Amino acid sequence: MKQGSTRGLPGWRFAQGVGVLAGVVMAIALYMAFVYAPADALQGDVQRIFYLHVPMAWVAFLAFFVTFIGGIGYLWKRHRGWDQLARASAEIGLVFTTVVLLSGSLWGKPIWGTWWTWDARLTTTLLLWFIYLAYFMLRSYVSDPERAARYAAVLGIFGFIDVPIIYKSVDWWRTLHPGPVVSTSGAAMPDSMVYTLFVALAATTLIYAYLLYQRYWIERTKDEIADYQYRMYERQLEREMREGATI
Amino acid sequence: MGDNLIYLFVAFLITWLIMAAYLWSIGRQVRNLRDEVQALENAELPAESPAPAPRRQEQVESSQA
Repeated sequence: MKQGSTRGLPGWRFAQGVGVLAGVVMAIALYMAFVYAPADALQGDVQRIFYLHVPMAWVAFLAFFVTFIGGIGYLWKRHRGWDQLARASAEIGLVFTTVVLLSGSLWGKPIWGTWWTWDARLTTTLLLWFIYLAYFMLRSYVSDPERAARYAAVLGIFGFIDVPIIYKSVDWWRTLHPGPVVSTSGAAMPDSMVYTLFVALAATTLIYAYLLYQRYWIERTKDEIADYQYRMYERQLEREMREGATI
Repeated sequence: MGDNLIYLFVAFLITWLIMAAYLWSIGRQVRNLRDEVQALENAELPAESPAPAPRRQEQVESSQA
């Protein structure tokens, strides 16, 4: 059990540095979102929700991509580290998607006049939320950890198919949701808004990296404790059997 | 336009409340796990110290005699 301390995990100091940096960059992003970036000519100040909503959505997709990679890695190598990474990232992705849905709804009310509409992008995003909620429900229902990891890996891989569908939904279907604001052909907004968006994206990515490190440590330590307790149980059982045989 | 500020405020408030609650929950889990690891390390320390050599059956019998 000597590796149980976070300080024993490689990169602990680096992770702490990332956490501090995330806080600093987030403070800059908030300053830019509320002071530096101009208010939108049509939507007014409520458009500033965009600097929260869009980076959270992009980083949630990144988190599910990491879960997808973790799932493939686990099914291929059968190494528990991949599953721990997938689990850790899926939880953060779920939290970020919750924020995306709530912030989107709070933007939709004043702009569209409704909290929710069964628009293609909103519906596919809600579906994504349910897929990863099911990911955790599945894990908790299957008692054998190896089987739970295998099933969850499959769900994490297939669940990720929804991400490109969400991204392309505004092109494939007629939707209320605005299209991509930044594309290969350039940005459909002033430079100050683009810079603010990218700083907010950097801050959200750093927060994700910090959380991922912490969550990964939690998952790893939980597994180590479970393994240790199982070994102790086996040893005790052996001892009892030996003592029984001597008597 | 001024009325819409409440939506902006609530969106940021909810987001930061969720993030703060999540960070707090992670911090609590890390603390609990550290305590658990510490408790297990402490519990296994006596087992790691060299155990006395087991006495053979005839030694036990002669000492009893």
